[in-house]
Amino acid sequence: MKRMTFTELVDGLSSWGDVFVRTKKGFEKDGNLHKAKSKNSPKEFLLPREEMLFVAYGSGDDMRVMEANPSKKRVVVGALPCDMHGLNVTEKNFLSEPKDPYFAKRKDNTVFVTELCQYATSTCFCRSFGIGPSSKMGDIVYFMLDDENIIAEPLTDRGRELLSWNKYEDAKDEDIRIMEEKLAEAENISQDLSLSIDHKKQREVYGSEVFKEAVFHCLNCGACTFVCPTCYCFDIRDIKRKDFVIRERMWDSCMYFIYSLEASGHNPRKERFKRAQNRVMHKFFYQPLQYGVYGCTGCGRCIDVCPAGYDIRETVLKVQNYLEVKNG
Amino acid sequence: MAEFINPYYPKKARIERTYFESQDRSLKTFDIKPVECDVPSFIPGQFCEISLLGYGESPFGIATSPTEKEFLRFTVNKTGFVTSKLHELPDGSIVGVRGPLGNGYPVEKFKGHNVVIVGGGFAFTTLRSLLVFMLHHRDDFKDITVLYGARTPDLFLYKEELAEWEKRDDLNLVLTIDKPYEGWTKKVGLVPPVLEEMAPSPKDAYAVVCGPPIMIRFTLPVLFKLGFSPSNIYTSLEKRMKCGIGKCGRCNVGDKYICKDGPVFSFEELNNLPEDL
Repeated sequence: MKRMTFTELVDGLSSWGDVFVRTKKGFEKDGNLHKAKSKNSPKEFLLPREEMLFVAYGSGDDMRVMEANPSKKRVVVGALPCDMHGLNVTEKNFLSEPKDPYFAKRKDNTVFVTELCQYATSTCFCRSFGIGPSSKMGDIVYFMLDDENIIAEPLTDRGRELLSWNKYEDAKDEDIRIMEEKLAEAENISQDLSLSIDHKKQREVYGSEVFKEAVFHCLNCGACTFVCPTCYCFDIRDIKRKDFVIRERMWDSCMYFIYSLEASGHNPRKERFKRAQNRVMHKFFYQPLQYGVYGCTGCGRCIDVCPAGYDIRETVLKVQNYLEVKNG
Repeated sequence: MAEFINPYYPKKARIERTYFESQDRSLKTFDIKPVECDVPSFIPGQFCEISLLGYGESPFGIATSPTEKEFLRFTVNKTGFVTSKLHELPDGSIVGVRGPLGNGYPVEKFKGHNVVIVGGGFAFTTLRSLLVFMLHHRDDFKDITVLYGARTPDLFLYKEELAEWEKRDDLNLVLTIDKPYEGWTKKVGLVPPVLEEMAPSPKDAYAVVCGPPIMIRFTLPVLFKLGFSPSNIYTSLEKRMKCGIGKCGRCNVGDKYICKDGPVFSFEELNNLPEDL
């Protein structure tokens, strides 16, 4: 690893594109690094809150359609391992066939500089998902030694090309010692739930009493789905103007009644608990079955943000226990 | 800009011909032809997303068979925002089409077997596709039995074709309506009891059941009683959809997306999934 200042890192990267830094709110352009987890995850760099798919001009035979081309080059600095893992999980949905061209383009145009995490709190449980505060991911990874000095290393070819790594001196033994110490502390704080869920039992737990009780007090406000680094559901809508139509997609949430409401009036998730249940089951049953990986990264944002004080860890452990008891 | 095939991009298509299927004007059929390309090849049971720019997109099962190459046919029940607007469009209008999407019926598996089709109401669209396909390749299939039920005689789709199919001796077609109706001389009775009476043999046979959920719920026990196994009974599912390509998340049943992994599933597959329909 190489020793440099955070300012040197950011300045060096600005030649690639606009630099977005982790702040309290999320990831903001030229922001000041917030030395804790951000409220919002960086998923919006690959799946924006609102995104144009195409614009259609004219009508009838003369109609012309122009595809959106998300070509802006950007650097995201300070994504934590849970954030980065979240993007890797989300990618499995968008880059499986048929590939989502917008997500793919944005991924090509975004450099991720991740920070090794010394900010673990009581709501962190990333270690349940094969990652941890010291997981190295992204194009470049760095560790904050203090408010200004960092040690960093490239992980991909792109990361190697972005900075003149040779001009920086190697990290000192002392730096490495400090890093290992801080990361070990964080590793101790982040919980490992020791999950052993039998995903194939999806039908057994769906609609079961254990779920009904566990998510009974959920308000279906959807806040968890928006701050979640892996929730990717989107809606598609047309915006009609005088001379053109924009087809957009925007974040949606399975917590909402109309999300699954059908034209006939039928709604398979009419009961509130079924909508809350879907989010948990998607992450802990469906995604493991689809892609062999949990759809949760243990970032704890849904716990931090929930107005009803709901803790996904409790639900998951209750459901796991229910299955274990039921199936001996 | 890098060239990519954009699965969200609708292709221009012209409405060649429209007609109402029922006197209450709730069911309208659209024959649609792509403007810039040929009618795509597809499998019976697949669907398309039809776009009305400025209004939105909705999924509809393809009612034509892949063997009918001139146009794509969709029968649309006027229910919501897009379907209401679609019903208003005059012939010659341009719409957007994405597809074919989804998996379709396992027609290759059906070859060399008896096939029993059980349909109800306006769910007969992709069943028409399947039936026309099988009749076109008639020698590839053994006995074909069709039971089609509707609430009233008016609510059958494709009435002219039904009349022709009734005359064929290589197809056993039974039409039934729920209650007696003036002038109706054919079968009267709900689909499940009529099916029980017909008692098609499960030997070397596959069954395809499409219709309102209530019909499916009461038809399944009859099929099981007749000896069909869940792995030999297929159905086509519907749910609210948006992207049609397994990305937007909303049409999942357990770990399967109806738009991408379906819409056709066997009951053996459905028995392993949560009851989220």
